[in-house]
Amino acid sequence: MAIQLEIEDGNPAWYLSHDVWTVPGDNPEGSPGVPVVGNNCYLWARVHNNGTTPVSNATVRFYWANPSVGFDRNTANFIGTAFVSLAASEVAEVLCLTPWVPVFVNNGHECILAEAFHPSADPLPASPVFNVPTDRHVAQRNLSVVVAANSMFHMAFEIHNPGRKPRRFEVATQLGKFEELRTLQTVLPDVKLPPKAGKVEFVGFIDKHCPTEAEFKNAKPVVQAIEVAAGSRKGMTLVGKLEGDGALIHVLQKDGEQIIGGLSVLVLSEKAAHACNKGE
Amino acid sequence: MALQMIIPNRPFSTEPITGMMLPDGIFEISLGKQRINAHFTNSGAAPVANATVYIESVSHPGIVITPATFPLNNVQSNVAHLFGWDADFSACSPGKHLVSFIVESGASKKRIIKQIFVTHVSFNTATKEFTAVTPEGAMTVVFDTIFGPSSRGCCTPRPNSPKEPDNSCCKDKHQRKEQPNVIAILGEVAKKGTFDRDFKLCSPYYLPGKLHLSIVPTPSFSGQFGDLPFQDPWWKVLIAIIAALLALGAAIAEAIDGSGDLTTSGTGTATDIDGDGIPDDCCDVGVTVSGGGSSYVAAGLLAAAAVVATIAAASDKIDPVRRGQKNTIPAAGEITIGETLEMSFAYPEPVKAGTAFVAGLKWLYTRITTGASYTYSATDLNKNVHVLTHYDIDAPDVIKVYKRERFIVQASFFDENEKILKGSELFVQCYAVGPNGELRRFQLQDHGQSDDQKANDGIYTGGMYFSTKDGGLWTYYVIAQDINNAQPDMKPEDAAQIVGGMVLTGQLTLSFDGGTCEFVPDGHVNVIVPN
Repeated sequence: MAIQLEIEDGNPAWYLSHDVWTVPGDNPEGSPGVPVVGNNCYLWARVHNNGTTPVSNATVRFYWANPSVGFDRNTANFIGTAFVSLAASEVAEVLCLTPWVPVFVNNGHECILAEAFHPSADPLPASPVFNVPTDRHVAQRNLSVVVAANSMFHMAFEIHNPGRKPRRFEVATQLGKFEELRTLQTVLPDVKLPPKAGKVEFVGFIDKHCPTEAEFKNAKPVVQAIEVAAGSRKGMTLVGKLEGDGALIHVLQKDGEQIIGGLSVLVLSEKAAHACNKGE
Repeated sequence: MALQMIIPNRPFSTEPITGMMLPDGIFEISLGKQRINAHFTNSGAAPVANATVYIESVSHPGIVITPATFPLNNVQSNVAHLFGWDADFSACSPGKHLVSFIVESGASKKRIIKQIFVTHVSFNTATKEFTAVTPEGAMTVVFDTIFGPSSRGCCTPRPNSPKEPDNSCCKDKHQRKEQPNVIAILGEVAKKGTFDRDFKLCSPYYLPGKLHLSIVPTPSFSGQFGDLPFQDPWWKVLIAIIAALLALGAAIAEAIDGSGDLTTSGTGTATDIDGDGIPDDCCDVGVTVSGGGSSYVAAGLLAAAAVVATIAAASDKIDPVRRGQKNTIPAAGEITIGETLEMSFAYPEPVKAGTAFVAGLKWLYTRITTGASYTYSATDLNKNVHVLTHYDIDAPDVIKVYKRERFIVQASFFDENEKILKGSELFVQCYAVGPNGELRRFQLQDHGQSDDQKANDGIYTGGMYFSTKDGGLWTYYVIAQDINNAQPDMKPEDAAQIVGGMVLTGQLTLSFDGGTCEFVPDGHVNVIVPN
């Protein structure tokens, strides 16, 4: 086993990697935290060399994307590059010194992604597709925090089809557990999980960017056969009603039985979000 | 135990054509490829063993690093080791950018984040204006006159030359370009990165004469003082960068196709170099060098002379722009929207880097506000403060290639108080020029490793091997440049008084009594190869 670079995926949700994180503010070596729209933010990745051979000058690339499922190297937004040299079995935290300034789209919710490779000794697969769950080089953190207003919440996201032919996808919701976010606590210390998960109702998708509350009841938890034209994207909105302090919801993009994309939404009540902001 | 490695000074740029440090180590976008150089020092008491060092990342995606990891073995306390990384700045934007370096030794790792300054000089072929852009404003310079040899480049006769007019370096001498862009030509040559053994130096321009400068501050400012470029150097450093690019670019453009002429008048005919009202005749460097290697060294030293002269005339303590601001007080409520400076340089003494030559400057500063204009003028005589009392070189006279003898050069440099300079105080290189125009270059360090016997003893050492194809008499030049050691926490006005990148070794003397310029190598080595 020569050089084997890896940025670990999340577990069980592979799109919730604890090896990719952000440091908001002007100090790239500051504390991890949630990106703030309009302010500098630095990306980090924890890169493992699981091989038995040292690697010099491996490349680490960093990207961001709007909350979406199915983006690839062509549709994600490239932030910057870093390099790392690692001994066999060594792990290093790698800083991308090019600042990322989150933009005010989708209320500032964005996904981050990093990939580590060596151009000759451990190259990436020859495809623009990230293949996060199967490709050890790449990992993503696709977590958005949404505050429910009057118990109702909604978050817009995109379904990407980076292919050259039209495709049909299925999107489905899946209720998650707060335990899945525990491993992220070190890289998201300012996201305080409520002590107890609440309940959600009417969770599903609506084919509108800003649905009215009356439309929430029409939301479908699974939408099948969503046709997305070649090389394009389609917008959807996740909606629901929260009872209690918070809930974790996964959005899965499927092609047949295969999960090809995913994002997670942590829904917090106004009370829980307020406590989070105060650091309680 | 945590690694106690530091980078004591701001990383500096070396350009790819001559390998010399740019004024104040500032990176220049128009050159594209440059090298990011940094000294690494162990600030701890314990030695650092088996370390590696590499660039992790940069803050601007337009800086494309060629990754490299260097070994750093047995780093003794307070000893500086110099490393350099190639990078392409073509897609960068002007500003202060960050570079993160990693030093790793076993399980210990240290990240060092340092600032670099990047400017962008362009040349407008229609107006013959040079513009240098920084975050704090854009500075435009138009040269009315530039002092150069009476031969005016290689496409015109050399009246003082013992030979016939030398047009041989003009590959296309009959098709002189009407509007050459010396900055673009320089960028193209830098991009190619190839060394032309046939390059012949016939530069039309040596030293700034008369120029008009205007600054458009970003943003316009209220009160008396505007920001310094990068919050650090004086504006004059940007003039020095332009002067260096002009000297180098014009030399190369002239050699390629005789298109190095770019004064507003197209002639640059002023000859009163020392300012005494009597015409002078600048010496000619071109007729003293032969072969591509010497020409590159001479071109680099010419550019360095232009820099040293500009910096000396405009004073390190406070430059004319700042003095102009100090002596023109805008009325309450007025906003300064522009500043201009008319500068007329005079060189009463020969210009020789590393010596305390005197340079004169007559200048007129104008502050343009939303309500009025204010002027202040002065005539100054300043001394070059980047000086050495002397320097010593020790190198073998003969190298027998068949015995695998290494050509090792040792050099010591003594400042104006006879104090020996050490470690990260200098950037030292040796240029070896072969009998067929070859050029080899290597660094000399004071780190106590490889060819250098003892760290921090002030004896900078470096070496190289010659090959069996290198037989003949080689000439070498050891060129030292000082380092800007201003610290990020210094006040801008204090940091501005520290200027680095000045050549301290006086191989080239620009005199003003005609004839040929003194261009003296530091030695020769006879390379003997098997028959």
